Amino acid sequence: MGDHNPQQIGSAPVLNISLVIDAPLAKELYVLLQTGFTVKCLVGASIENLFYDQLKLNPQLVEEKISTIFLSGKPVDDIATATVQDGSTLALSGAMPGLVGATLRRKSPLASFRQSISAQQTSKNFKKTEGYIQIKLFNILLKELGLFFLEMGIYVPRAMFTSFIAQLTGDFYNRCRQILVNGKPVQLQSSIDWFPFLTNHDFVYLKVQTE
Amino acid sequence: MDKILRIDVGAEGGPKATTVPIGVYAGLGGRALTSAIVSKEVPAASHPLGEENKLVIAPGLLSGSMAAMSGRISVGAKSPLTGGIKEANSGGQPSQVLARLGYAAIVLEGKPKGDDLYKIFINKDGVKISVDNTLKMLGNYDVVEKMKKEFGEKIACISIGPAGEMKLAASSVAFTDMELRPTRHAGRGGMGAVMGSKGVKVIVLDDTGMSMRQPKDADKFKEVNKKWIAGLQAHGVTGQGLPAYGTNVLTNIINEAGGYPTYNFKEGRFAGAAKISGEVQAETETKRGGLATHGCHSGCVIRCSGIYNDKDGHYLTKQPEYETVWAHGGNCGIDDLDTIAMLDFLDDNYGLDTIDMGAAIGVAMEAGLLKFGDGQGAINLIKEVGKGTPLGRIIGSGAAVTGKIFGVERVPVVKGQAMPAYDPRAVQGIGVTYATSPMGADHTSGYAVTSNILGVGGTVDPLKPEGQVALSRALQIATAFIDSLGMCIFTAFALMDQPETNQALIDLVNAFYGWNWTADDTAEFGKKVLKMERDFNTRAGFTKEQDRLPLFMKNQPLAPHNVTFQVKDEELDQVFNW
Repeated sequence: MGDHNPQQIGSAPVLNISLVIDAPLAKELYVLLQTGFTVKCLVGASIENLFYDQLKLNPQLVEEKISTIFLSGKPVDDIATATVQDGSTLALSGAMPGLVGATLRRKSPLASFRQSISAQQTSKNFKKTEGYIQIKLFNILLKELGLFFLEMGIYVPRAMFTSFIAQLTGDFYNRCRQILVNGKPVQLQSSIDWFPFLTNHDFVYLKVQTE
Repeated sequence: MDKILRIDVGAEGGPKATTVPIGVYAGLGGRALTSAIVSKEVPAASHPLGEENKLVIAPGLLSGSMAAMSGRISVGAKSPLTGGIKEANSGGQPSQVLARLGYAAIVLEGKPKGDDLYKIFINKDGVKISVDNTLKMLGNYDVVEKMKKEFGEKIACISIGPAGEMKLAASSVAFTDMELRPTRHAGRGGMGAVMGSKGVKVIVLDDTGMSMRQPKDADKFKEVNKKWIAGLQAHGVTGQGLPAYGTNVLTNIINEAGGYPTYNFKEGRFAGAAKISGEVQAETETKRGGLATHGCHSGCVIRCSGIYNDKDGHYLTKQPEYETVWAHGGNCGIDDLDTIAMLDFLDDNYGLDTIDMGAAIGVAMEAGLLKFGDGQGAINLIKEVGKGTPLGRIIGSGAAVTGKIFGVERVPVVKGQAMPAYDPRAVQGIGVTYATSPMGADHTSGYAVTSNILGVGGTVDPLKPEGQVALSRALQIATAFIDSLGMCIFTAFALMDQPETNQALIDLVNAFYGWNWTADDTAEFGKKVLKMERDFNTRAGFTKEQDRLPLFMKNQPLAPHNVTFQVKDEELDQVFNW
């Protein structure tokens, strides 16, 4: 369920959902972020370009916290040469424990241990075009970047969203200040209440506003 | 720690305890000491469950001191699982307590004359050994409860469950944690079976009246211990990732890398991984009133463990480790944390290695005994082990035996021991260690990544294929040293990235013992340990043919990267050519 084809979003019916919440409630949404969400961006660009020029991430955060990166399942060593393409999956993590955790790190001295699956250096000459990529956020980066992406807006497949709302409790709805569907406020109290809106939509575009 | 407690369980009139000076073993601790005693005193051709084998329990060189993270304890013997030498280590309280009582090791030797089950009580006044057949076939939790009633709550226990009593090859030795629960285990290699063969159910330790071990240079020791702790707390892994999420933080990462063995090593990714990730586990523990950050022994500053409560908020088990979550989770197609936690509890209670149990169930699933994803079926199988049924005894003997009995080709073992949670087809370097470690497939044998790593095993270009062999060699050497100190191997990450922290560890040893060791000395120490272990295995009949991964690793590509294990046999044979 987590891995989906981000390229489908361009032609799929999308339901717009906005949640107005207090920042701490965003934690309840983190499961969507680790499972995988999609964003629209310029593809054919390096990860470095994506981080700094498109997402405007803090360089210190990138260097010190985003220690482990996978591009479509392949560990990345050099963000300047690894290129995101339409439909790529980019998974981001902090430094990990364990020998294998250390092995998967960017520029790890143990990189030879996983050389058969490492991301290879790619050409910088791709033409940048609009496209969709899937992003997964893990561990400490949920705290560091979770709210950032939720406020920016994320696409998730309907099936994933349905699974997510199924595990929400009444406490979430009580703490949620406002829910807007396609820009209009709605009153929802349980997962069943969502179904009329979700029908006929393949994806949800979820955006969070914090107060 | 200048004495060894030897207990001859086969002595006339019942087990007899003798305390002897440490003698020729001075300067050794933890793994170095267990391997030295086994290598020197146990005939390599002996039967692992026979009179000539010895079970050695040894705290690390720094255990019992103020050194942070020094609470690991080693258990060694000839292994009934691998047929070779074994050292399995564990956290928990007994390492610190045994060291403060002054013992460098407990050695159980001989063969009991009858069927009686013994308990051993050790405190500052000496050793008392008594028959206690009321403990027969009790689970570790019940054993510890009985010991608390008898000896009070200021104790630490080393015990075996029914699996050890039945001498099953995948049985563990349990060590109590800070809450006096038997949650920490020397899990690998069937050390519980060796303890069971000696007729000893539990060793109770009480260090009341004893004080912390004192360093030779107290001021220096205090100073470097501060640096050591500061280094661990400053590092991203030991100061943030591990405390927040525990070792299970690895589930999402290894899965993303396509190296997460799934459905008995058939695939490298598990669709349900996010549901059993460390992130979800920590959140679940916190919501249910458990703990997501907790130490397994006093003096731990990383605190990567936790407490897992059930849906009603009652204690179920300690926070299952990554390897346990994988073995009972993705490897068996199970994506429910409560089921995995129950399996962890049952393993701990019966005294079983969670890795070999998960691997054995995965093999049984592949054989069609139950379906992948059948959580209740997996629980029932472990309960069969606890009951001692014929099926349970097969599963409790580990993945290798289970594979033979059920006629399965894909059996993930090396030297009879199940592979842990990292597929060597995706992360080939760890396959070098799995294949060549004297211990059998063991992720912790080549774990300690030290900042001087590139100088330990020779000159290494980490980006060249041959670097994998040299790196594995260096890692195994460094780990043998760390295991001998009683240091938790999770300190390894700070050691790798922060040279000053690596130096602080060496300074800590020097300040404690009055030595002048350098990084080269630590490497020589590690080599010496490995040489003893390799020598024992050679005498036990091991050849280079045992230093191999199972054939399916070479001929069954692993999705999603569709890779096979590519390191050549001739390269594997170079690992110990230093």
